[in-house]
Amino acid sequence: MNLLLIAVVQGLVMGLVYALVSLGLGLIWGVVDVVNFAHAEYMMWAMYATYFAVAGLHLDLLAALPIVVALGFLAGLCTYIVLIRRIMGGPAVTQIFTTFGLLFFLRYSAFAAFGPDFRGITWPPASGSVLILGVPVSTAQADAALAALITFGLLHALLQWTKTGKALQATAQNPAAALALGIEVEWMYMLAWGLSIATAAVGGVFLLTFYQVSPTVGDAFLLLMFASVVLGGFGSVLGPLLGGVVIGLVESVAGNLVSPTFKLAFVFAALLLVLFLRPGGLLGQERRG
Amino acid sequence: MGVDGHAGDRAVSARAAEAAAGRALLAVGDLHAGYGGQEVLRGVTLCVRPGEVVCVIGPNGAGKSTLLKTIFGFLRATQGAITFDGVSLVGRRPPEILRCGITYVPQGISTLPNLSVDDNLRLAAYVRRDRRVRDDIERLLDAFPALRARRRLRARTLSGGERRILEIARVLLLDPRLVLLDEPTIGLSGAAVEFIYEKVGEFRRRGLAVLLVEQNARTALRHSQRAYVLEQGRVRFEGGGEEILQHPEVRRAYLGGRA
Amino acid sequence: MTAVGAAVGVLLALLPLAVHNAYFINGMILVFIYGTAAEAWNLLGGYAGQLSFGHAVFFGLGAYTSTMLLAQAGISPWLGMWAAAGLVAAVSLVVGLPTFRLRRHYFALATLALAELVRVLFLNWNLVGAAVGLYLPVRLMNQPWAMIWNTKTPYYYIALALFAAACGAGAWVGRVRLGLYLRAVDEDEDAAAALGIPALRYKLLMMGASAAFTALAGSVFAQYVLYIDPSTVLDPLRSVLFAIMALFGGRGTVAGPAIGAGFLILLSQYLGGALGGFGRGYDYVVYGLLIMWIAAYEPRGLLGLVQRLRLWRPAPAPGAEVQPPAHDGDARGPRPAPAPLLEVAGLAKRFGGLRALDGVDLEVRRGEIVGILGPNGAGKSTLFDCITGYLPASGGRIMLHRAGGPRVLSGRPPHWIAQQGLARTFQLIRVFPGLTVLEHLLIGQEHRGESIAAALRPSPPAVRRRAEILLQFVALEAHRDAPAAALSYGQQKLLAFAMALVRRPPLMLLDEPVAGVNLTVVERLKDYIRTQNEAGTTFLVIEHNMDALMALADRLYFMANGRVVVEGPPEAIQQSDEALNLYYGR
Repeated sequence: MNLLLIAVVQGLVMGLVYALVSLGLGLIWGVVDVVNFAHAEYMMWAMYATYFAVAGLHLDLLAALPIVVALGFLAGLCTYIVLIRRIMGGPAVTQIFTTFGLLFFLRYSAFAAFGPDFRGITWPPASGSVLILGVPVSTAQADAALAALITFGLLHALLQWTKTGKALQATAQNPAAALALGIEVEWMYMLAWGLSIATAAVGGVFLLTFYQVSPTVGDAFLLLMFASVVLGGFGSVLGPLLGGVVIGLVESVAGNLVSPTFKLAFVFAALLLVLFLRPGGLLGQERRG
Repeated sequence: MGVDGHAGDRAVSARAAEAAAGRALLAVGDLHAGYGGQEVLRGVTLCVRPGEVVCVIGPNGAGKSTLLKTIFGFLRATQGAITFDGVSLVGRRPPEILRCGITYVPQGISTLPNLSVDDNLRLAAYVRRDRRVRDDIERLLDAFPALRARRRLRARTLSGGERRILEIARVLLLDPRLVLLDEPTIGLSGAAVEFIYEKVGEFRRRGLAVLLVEQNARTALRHSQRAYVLEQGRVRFEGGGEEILQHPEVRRAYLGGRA
Repeated sequence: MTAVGAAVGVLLALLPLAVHNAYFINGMILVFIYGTAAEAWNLLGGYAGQLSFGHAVFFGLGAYTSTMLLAQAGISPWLGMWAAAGLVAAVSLVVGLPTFRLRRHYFALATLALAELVRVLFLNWNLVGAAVGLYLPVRLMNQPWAMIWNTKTPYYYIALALFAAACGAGAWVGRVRLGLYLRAVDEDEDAAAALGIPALRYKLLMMGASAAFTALAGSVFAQYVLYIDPSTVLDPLRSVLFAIMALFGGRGTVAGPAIGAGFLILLSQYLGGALGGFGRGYDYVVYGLLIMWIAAYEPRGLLGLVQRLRLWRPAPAPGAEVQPPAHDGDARGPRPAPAPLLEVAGLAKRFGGLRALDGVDLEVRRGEIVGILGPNGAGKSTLFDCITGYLPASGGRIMLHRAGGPRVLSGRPPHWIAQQGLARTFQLIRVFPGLTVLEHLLIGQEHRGESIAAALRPSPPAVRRRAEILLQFVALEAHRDAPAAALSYGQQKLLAFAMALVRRPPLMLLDEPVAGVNLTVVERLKDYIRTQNEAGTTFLVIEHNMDALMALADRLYFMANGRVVVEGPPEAIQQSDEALNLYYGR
């Protein structure tokens, strides 16, 4: 079979998953203007939550999904209220260090609680593989990609077709003008954080069906997420989607056709290239003037 | 023309403001505010009566924009009173003040550049909970044909004048009792300036009160019933629009001296 | 401060004589090595304001270089570590050149990605042992030339010496001109460029020094632990740790990173001992909490916390040895003949579809005071930004006529233009809030042709004298050691004006010098402009205050909608119906 086709299909599928876990990072970056270096850690916690719901409480994955996503939303809300609100509009140094502190805290409290072991679950409906364009893809990955598409669709609908979504966009574009229109900007920030972590949680739930969790799982994802968001540009839903897919393709094509050991190197090189050439992203524009 | 205020070399006293406030829609008394430790307003007292166009002029840095921002809750007053229809506005946030019946059109561009004209209008009615918003928007687009032609385009593609028209149009969706306009004609050419003042006149006919800040002082004064001259964060003169226009000292300092 | 530092150094040097607990000595060695790296990080992240999350690359490359030299070529680490430092500094400059164009989060992100890239490469590079790593040759045990011992004491002193050197470097930068420039660049890069400070040059210098010290720390670390692999020395978490130590203690100070390293490493050691779970990550949980808490509540770090609690206040910056003000009188010879100084021809600037400048022609002759008048939005400030290099013009030409012949200013960076003798102030005052009044006046000195060596020395006495005179000139002597943030609006305006005056620029561009200040200050500023003009400075002034402008200017340009509408003496503008109508409305 054509090696390139396999690489492209697998890259697309994983790209959608990357897009899903990156979505929230771009959302907060765009709406709240905070760069959350701890984003991948929330995904890791969602994976643990799923693991314990499925392996510990014997819930079905689809029953665990709403619980974990709701917990994710709450976690995002709390993060904003307890921590982020205090550093809004502060210097970049403070913001960067705060979210790095958050990264340390989240990652190593998982380490302290669960130890360094890798844990995974098997979800019977996701065993085996399906054919996409004639290329076999594991059902678990295909499910995750489908979940990504549904999540993107829902979020896109929320942003484009509801009043709240428009208000969220207004807040991202010009918070002062939004306030003058009577939009409770503070609530929009809370909502953005809730949605951000909730989407990361959706990603975590489905990722666990084919990817084992450990406290350092975020390491592998943090830069992938940033690459997706920077590549696609933040402040829109389509940006991370496009970015994630491109990153998935770069990783898969380079990994399959050039060298599997250096596939991440290609991703980082792509990120650097975009940073140097188009820091606004492929779709994005410079924020606020 | 309601030439009621008196020209004087000092701000009217807080007591006079209180007396005036009896009939005033907006009453500002001894207002102090600023940025960080820097006090910009140093005791401003003024009032706006229902259905009246009041203009604030003064040199750059006198505190004109700061005054509007403080009234609308973007800045916290450090001292003094702001009452609107008898209710104190001090300490309230902009969305609450908006719900009281005041709208604010900030200086410069306050349209949302990546949303369509339609969305900009719908968001202007964000605080409205009734079902007639759609009809109102349609009526508005009838009144502003330039906007109807561009309703699906992003606001960023509009010219400066069109964006200002959009900002002014948004006011009409809320039907407020008081409009705060910060330099509505900045950067606009003659015809657009005329259009803006035509709309200001229309606001007044609808019974809206307008408090506007302008650097383009002559045009503004001609369209105002009353005016205040702000200097160093204090009211230096006040009076009827024409009266201020003819005041020798004001003319010499702010209006270029000649007729 | 120096005395305190020396005393601490002596105490630390004597410590191994009194304490023989190997666990504790090990902790102290790690404190020194990490402390060195944190101090090195602080050279770039603290003084130069560039937050790097890639310092593990420098640490790792340092460790690998000296180790490879020893293991493969038998070169002593005593030499190898310097080779490592040199190599890594060179690498850092290559990396720094493109990354310094990025601001804010993007710089942090780029350095993080670079570090990951290097780690992946090393993990798969067989020459350097790939994922397995490298062992140092233990057969050379206790041979001093190989820097390998089976006791801790030699390492203790080597690490301490390196740490002291890194602290010394930080202290030195803090008290010479370079430190001042970097603080200014960190607070407001644009305003620093207006003074002629070449920010990129000094950032690269700090990058090189920072990388070199980090490499040295890496070399010593390798010699101490005798085994390196990508997941220890190139661990991205290590980059974050260096940064966090510096921030935790207090960024941009000498004591901060040292205190941060000491606190965090010893805390780790204690938690490891007390909770018995060093591998369980409790230390990092506590780090995380502490970092969030300190970032959200006291961004200046532990030192800031201490200052806030008023337990200890740092001594004021050195430089109190002041000469009594003597007049050097701005002796500039006779007033030059009115030849053109600045020529602007057909200048255009478009923002998208908006024509902010639509073919502006303007000429300023030597010794003149020229005013620019016009309604808001006429393009006055845009004109200034184009002339001084802050905005690229879309068309037209800008020439400055100097003794050495005319110079084309178009397309040049702001600091270069400033160095040609063109000073400017900004409409919104741009002073450096954290710098003292005197420091503002020192920083304004001539930067044209200034060597790096010169920047590594304190300001020369002549500059200090001139600063003191200007301090009196603008009546701010009483505030000389106060930070600019503590001044009133009018005082800040005077300070910005004086700062631009220090290097006696032939041409000054003032953007609304008297807006928003009270009448006394207006009068004072008018006097200063006149005095300075008589001393030979040419002025181009944007101003809304008609009275002030009429009283000052020899000629006026009236601008509207991006064009010059009328030009002429003030009386002529006052008679121009077109100008008055545009300005005040019909």
